[in-house]
Amino acid sequence: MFIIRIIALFLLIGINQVQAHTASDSFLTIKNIEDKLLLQWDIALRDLDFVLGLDTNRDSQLSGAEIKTKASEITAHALGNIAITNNQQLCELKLESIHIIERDQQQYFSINSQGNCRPEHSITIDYRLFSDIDPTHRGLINYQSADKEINIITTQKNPTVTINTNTLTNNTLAEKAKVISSFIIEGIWHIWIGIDHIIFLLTLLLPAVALTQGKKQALKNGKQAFFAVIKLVTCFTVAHSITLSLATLNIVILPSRWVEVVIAASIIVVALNNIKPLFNHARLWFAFVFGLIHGFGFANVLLDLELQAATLALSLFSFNIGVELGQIAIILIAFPLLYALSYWARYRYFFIPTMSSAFAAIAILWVVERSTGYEINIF
Amino acid sequence: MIPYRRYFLSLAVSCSIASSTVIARPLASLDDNAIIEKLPQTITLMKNKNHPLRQQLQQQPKDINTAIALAKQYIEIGQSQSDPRFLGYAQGLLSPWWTLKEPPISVRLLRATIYQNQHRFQEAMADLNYIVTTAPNNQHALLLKATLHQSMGQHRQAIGSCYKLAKSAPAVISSGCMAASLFASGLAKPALHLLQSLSEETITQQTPTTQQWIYTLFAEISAHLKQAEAEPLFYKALTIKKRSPYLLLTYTDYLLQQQQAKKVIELLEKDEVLDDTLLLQLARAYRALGNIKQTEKYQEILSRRFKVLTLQNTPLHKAAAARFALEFEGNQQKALSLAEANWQSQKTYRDKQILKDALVAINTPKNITLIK
Repeated sequence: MFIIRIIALFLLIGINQVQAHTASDSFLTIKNIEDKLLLQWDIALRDLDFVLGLDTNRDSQLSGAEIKTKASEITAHALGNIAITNNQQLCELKLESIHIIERDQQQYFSINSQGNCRPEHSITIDYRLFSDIDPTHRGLINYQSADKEINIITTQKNPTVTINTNTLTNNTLAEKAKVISSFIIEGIWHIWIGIDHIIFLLTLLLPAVALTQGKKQALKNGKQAFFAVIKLVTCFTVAHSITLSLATLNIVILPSRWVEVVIAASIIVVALNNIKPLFNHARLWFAFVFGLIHGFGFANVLLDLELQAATLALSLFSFNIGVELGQIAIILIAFPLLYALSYWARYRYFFIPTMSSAFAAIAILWVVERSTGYEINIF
Repeated sequence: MIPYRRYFLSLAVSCSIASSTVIARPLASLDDNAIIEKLPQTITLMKNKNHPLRQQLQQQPKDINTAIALAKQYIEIGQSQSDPRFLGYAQGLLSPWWTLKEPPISVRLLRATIYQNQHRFQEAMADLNYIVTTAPNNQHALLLKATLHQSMGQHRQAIGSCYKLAKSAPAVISSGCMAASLFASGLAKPALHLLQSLSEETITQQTPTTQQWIYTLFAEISAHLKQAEAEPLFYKALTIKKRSPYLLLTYTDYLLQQQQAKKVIELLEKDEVLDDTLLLQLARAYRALGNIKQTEKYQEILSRRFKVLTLQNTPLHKAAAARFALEFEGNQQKALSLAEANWQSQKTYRDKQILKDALVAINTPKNITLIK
């Protein structure tokens, strides 16, 4: 009978992988902010109860009173089982506050503390909580600084981890070059796929290559045409560079949907002016003012790309260069074409109005699409 | 065109999902009488019963008999509560001998049990093989070995172990072992006959744990063969005052098949310690009843659990995750890859079932014949 009793203890009633609540894991978040080390360490109450006996009245419940009574013992036990060192110097952890946090239907004792060390190159975390009681306990560490986030797991077998805390401002030249080149390419790409920007430019340029300003409009020669284009593009470029920077740096924020609508509308305005030239004197202003709006449009795109705080300025600058390069490429193709076309007799009274109307029509569709959110898939 | 989204400068690349819905209450704000966390009764009972034992161990951690006695209790709690922590605690108690080159057999046996529950089958088998070669009549080891072979899909070896067991163990034990092995290998009818040959008396003479084991097995096989006796057998197993996650799983499967979702809810809602597989059963039951709110509630819990476990590198209960993907996420590809991964590690008939279901969902009849 004795044997049967013992066997009975081990009968595995079917193979069921034991997995209910998570195994014993604690969550340690370390934030390296402005040379301070802020820690939040969440430890499951159940784990603490097993080791420290929180349920003192053995009623199978942990009450507020029971937890409060044991709070300092818990904190001492926890902080006594972790060591954070910076260059072999121990970081003293000062308790800031204690909370109770629920994670995944379990309650955790959450210790907030601050470390008095300033991590220069690396910190080492020696994690020993519950290591003698539960070899399967793990510390899930999440380290955050201004420019990186790392997740590391400590186990009983590997209780010590070292995190490199160097910020990316100590970037190597190679990393910087990578940022520059990738964002230049993004800039070029996004202006090429930015049909609305291209159409705006083309609409602006249509008359520019052909006609002189002023009351008596005569055909321009090559040099005049060229400079006219340069002036327009420069105004446009300066303007969109300004707002691209303002928006990316979060200095000016405009709702993106509105921006998209106005970009489309800008095409309409310029196109209509091509057809009925009421504002010919102000075309440079159009280029500038609408350039400002287009800049916000580019910013929307740039912010969708992954930006890192440390290389933000560099990314922004490179992206802008990319946009300009892309623009230049378009001009280099468009300008000779348009200039050549401008010799066509019907350029002024047929080509410009027709193309402008076409652009305006497309732009109207865009305005409708972008303001209502419906997609009109004709193209 | 350009998307209507706006991303602000962000630091993080990966974002811990667990921390996204965290509400922190300051310690001082807790009401003294408020219940912050409930603990399972079994754990309190263990504490009460073993207080002197635990004290003793703290003084003399190398007292092997005390360590083993307590470790056994921890393992049992770990199994009945589906709480892997307790397996860890058991492992902790055995640490003075765990890393020895030649641990004592008693320690090896417990180690094999822990490994098996942690799904580390190869390591468990290594320990068991050692035991049966040095102590061929060790009944625990043979029984454990048979069960391990079953879950690894090694049916012949499972039957072989049960056969060796028959030489020394009582009829109930060896019959149970054999029936389980036969059932696992697809021979349900012979398994049923074997169990039917046991008299009611012999079964009720056994310890509650053994009885529950036999009744659960008996009920499971009967249910599989669509016998009416399944229900009373499940009932007998349930009346034994010991929580068995496997029994709950099998029984709820049966109830769901019998369109008795309401009973599933009655059974599980009052249970505090639901693991992923049982939460899934609850979700299925609510869905069968058309209770959208509760279904979504459990679906959300499960979805987060699986995500969190994956993020934290914790081994998933892949079969449950596969079924969840299949039945709730509608993601057949994911279900299939999970079911296949599960099949690599475990080959019980339940694992076969989810793999089949996943294959059928993707509609590749060719593959189904392969696993048959």
